[in-house]
Amino acid sequence: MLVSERWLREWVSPKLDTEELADRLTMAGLEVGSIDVAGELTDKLVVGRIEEISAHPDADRLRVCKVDVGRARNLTIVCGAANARQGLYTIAALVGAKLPAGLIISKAAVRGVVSSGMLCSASELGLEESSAGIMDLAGKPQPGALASDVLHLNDKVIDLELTPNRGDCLSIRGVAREVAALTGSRLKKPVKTTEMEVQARGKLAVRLTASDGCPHYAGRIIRGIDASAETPLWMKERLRRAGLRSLGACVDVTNYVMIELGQPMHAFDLDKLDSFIEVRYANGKEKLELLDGSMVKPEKTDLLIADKQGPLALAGIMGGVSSSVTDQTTDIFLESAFFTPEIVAVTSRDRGIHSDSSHRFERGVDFQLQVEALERASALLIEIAGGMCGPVVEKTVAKKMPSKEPIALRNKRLNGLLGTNISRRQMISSLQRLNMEIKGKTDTIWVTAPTYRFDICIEADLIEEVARITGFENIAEVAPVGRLQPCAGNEKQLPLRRIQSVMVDRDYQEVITYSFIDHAMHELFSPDLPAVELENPISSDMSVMRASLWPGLIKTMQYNFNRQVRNMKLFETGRIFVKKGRNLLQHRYFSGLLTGDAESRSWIDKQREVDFFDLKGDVEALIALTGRKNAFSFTSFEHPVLHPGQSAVIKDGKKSVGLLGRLHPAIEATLGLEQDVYLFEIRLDSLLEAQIPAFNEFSRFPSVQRDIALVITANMQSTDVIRSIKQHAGDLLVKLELFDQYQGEHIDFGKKSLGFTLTLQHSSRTLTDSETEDLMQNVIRGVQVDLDAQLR
Amino acid sequence: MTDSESKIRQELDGLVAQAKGQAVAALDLSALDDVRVRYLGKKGELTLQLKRIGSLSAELRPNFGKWVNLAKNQVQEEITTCKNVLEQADLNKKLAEEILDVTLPGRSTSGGGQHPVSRTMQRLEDIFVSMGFAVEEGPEIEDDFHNFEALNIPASHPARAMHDTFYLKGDSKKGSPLNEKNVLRTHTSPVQVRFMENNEPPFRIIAPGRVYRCDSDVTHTPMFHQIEGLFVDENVSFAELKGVLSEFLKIFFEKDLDVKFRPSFFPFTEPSAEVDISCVMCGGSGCRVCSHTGWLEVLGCGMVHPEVFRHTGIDSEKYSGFAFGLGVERLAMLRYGVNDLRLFFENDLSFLKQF
Repeated sequence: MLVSERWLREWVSPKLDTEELADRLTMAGLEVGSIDVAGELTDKLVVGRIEEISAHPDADRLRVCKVDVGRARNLTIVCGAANARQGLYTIAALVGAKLPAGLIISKAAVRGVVSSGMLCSASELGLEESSAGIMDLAGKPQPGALASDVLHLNDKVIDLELTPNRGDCLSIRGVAREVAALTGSRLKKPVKTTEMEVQARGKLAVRLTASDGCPHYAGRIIRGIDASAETPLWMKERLRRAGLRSLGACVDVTNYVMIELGQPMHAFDLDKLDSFIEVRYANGKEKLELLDGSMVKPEKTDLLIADKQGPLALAGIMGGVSSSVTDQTTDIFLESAFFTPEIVAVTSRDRGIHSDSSHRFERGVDFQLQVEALERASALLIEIAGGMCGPVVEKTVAKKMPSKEPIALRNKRLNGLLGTNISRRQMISSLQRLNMEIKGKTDTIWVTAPTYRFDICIEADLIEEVARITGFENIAEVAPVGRLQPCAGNEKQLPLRRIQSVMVDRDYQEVITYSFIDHAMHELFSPDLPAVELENPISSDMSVMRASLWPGLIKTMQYNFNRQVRNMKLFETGRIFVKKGRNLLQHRYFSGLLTGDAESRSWIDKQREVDFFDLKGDVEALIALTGRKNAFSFTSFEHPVLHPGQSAVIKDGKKSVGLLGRLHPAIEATLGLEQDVYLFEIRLDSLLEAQIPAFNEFSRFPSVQRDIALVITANMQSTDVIRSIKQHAGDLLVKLELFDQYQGEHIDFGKKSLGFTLTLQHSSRTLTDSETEDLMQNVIRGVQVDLDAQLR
Repeated sequence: MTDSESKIRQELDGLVAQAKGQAVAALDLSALDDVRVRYLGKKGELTLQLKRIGSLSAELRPNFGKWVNLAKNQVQEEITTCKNVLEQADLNKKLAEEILDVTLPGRSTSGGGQHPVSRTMQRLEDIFVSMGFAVEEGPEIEDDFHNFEALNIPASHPARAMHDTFYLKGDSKKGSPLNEKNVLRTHTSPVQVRFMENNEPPFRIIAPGRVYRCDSDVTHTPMFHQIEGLFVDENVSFAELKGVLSEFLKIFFEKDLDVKFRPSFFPFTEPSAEVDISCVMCGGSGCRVCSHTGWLEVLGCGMVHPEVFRHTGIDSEKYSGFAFGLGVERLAMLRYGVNDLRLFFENDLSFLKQF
């Protein structure tokens, strides 16, 4: 809401400057977004009267004017405007003046005639978007008077960023009421609204068929107007400062009353109406061309203004073209109605049409304002465009009207909720300043809010009002006092940050990528999962909710690769979204990517690229945090986006909880990646599930170590060998390490050698050599039987 | 002293002098060891002297042994001294060979890092946890009820327009989990609702997480992070809301800020307030960051609306509470001086590595 300070001060004028006033409004919840000047304040723009006018000797369309600007000598100014005439009062820009568009006026020859200034149009002064000619000032102002005085440019425009609950402040009068309440200044009545004398005959019947959407409707016929009449400058200026363009007398008057009193109105061309006005819901088969040129097909929830022929307007939102007022219109029907907020809101949202009118109706317009606004608009219109008023037609469906019931307010409750000590008297006086009616003599009072306050429905609303008037700054800051209540400790749950810090310590950089990804990336990475799509994405590459964190990591990698970063270790924590039967799963995942060199380039060590086992080592480090290392296993697994021979599924017990592996070379090629990329992902639930350590008695006797190298078929997996060794070594084996894998010279083709260190220890005595030897023999025989493994 | 006595002593002294001379002349440890063997070894010249004892007169015998041992000790002492010198020289040589350029860089790692939003979120969590708040989470794809209805934002409410909601494509299949009522949560407030549905007061919780708004420009990203807070107990007051949040802001910025609460509107709180702090960049004198107002809007808060309590089955006559929501990116920008919101989700490593 843009508020002209001059206009506001006609209604209420507290002894505060603009800044103080703005601050008071902001601190009362009517946030001032900005304060702008209404126009340039300069002594180079003055009133000029054209004393003489003659044709330019050298140009057909230019004329040479002698202009009185209040100086001893008239100025010679060359002017091209068609409306320039002898005796015209206009605004002259003197040499040195700077116009809003940036033009600086200088003394210059125009086709050989020296011009000492410029005669200005409203648009050149920044008062209008476009103008037909130079300004034509009424009222014979004094030549030489400052334009800023004559045009009342000495004004500020206060931009109020109103919250949706304060629809009552969407008018000058509404803001004035609030200022009066906040400052204690008296609310003035600059506008006298009186009943217009009925001079014209004729009534249009009004039918409120949809009374839940429109329980109150007022209208009247006005005949014999000059719809092409020029809107006076003062009104145009006030509309401009409110952010509205001048669009002809009828529209300007209805807009003016809307800004002044808060009642949106509409003028119909009476000649285009057939028989009656009906407020009804659409039947679902109609079409309506609106004033903004759009064509709508109203649905059955949409409220219409219609006549015998069909729809005329979307009620409270926008008028239709067919019944609109034109310059040729002479008779109009003026509408001033109350439309129910919810109905207007739903149509405005469903049809996607937002207007100054719908903005007010959906926030609530005073349901007792209609006739007053109608009389005010009638008076203004007749003043500008002439004409004669018909009688007011007013229809009310009382039982559908909003009602203002008294609300109970307890002083004790108020102070309890606010933590204040506001007296009953103070409380009552705050509310009375807001024009609330008070009844009751005990701690509990009964409060009735004015009809324009749609936001006051329950006790809490009243408490807020008292707090607002008291000033939040006058409520103390208090530290809560209560029973100590420790947060539940859960040692079985690892903190997420523990996991993240392990990754950070292992050189991974955390990233946060968007939860929505490109459809093609979804197809590529989760070909088996149906896409969870957005109805209204920001763009097509952000249209599908991710079913994997990998696309985001890949995109981040590509982004940085294009910025000359070759070595990357990235991780992200976040939810993925998967439709599974009747459920929408939103599990949290922990996911990582690595690519490039294993270590950052250095003078000391040999370079090598990261490989599968760097990846696996990092994953194992995460798993180790859970204290449940043995519960996890890695098994070869084929996945469409991973290298078939370098990928594994991670299992926690029997449950698959993640994947790791090298990105499939075919996908690397599709994405144009230039180096191998390794990826992992694990369900966060699984990673965060920790085991509470349980003490085990340990042996204090010496241990012995024995190394063996076993030759097995090359495609055999180490887990199988380990399982067999463990089985045959029994409880004395306390540690088994794989220290070597070898294929090549001295090993038959199709075979490989694995080297193991076995650490053996007895819990209650020292092992003898023969015991150790027997056990090793047992292991060697065992693996030979199980796996056909030969000692190397 | 007899002549023979002095002759023997002279002979021994001569040997000692000779041995000492050779020891000093030895160039390395093995040459020195040769000297030791030559004089002190089993067949060394001084060792062999003892064999002469049988040929000596009876009066000489008792002292002769003593003299030889004295001579051997003298030689041994000299050899030990020489050995120390040679060993030291050897060590010095070895050390000299092992000198490194200690200014060469260490075997460094590239160094990982936390995302600034995570870092900020952790700090925020730590502060609130220290005040007795527990951390809760909730789903990011929400239903209309939890994101709007239960928070007193019915479909026709103009406040819905403030939210720029992302809707999910419903699918027509029967029994599908998705319908036109699914949205990406526009705030973390639905976590309040979910928590209150399942818990009895008193409680203090915060709910950090991702939220989504259909808006993308210089100052908006379609995804960002919020932390929601909720404090419900008997007799919780607006004065306490002010106390908790004012304290929190001073702790977060580690500055004695001016904190201003001014009335605002959120459908799920009443009274509602916006909180401004004196600009952390300019201290309140006015700068680009605070649009020359000296103030920064940092969070929204208010007393839980009775409708929200009603929707979640909590008796609003018995209990009262406050809720607040703050934007993590906003606080991160102010704390670390980040000048462009969009940097957080570009994930340029040149940016991320700074945190």
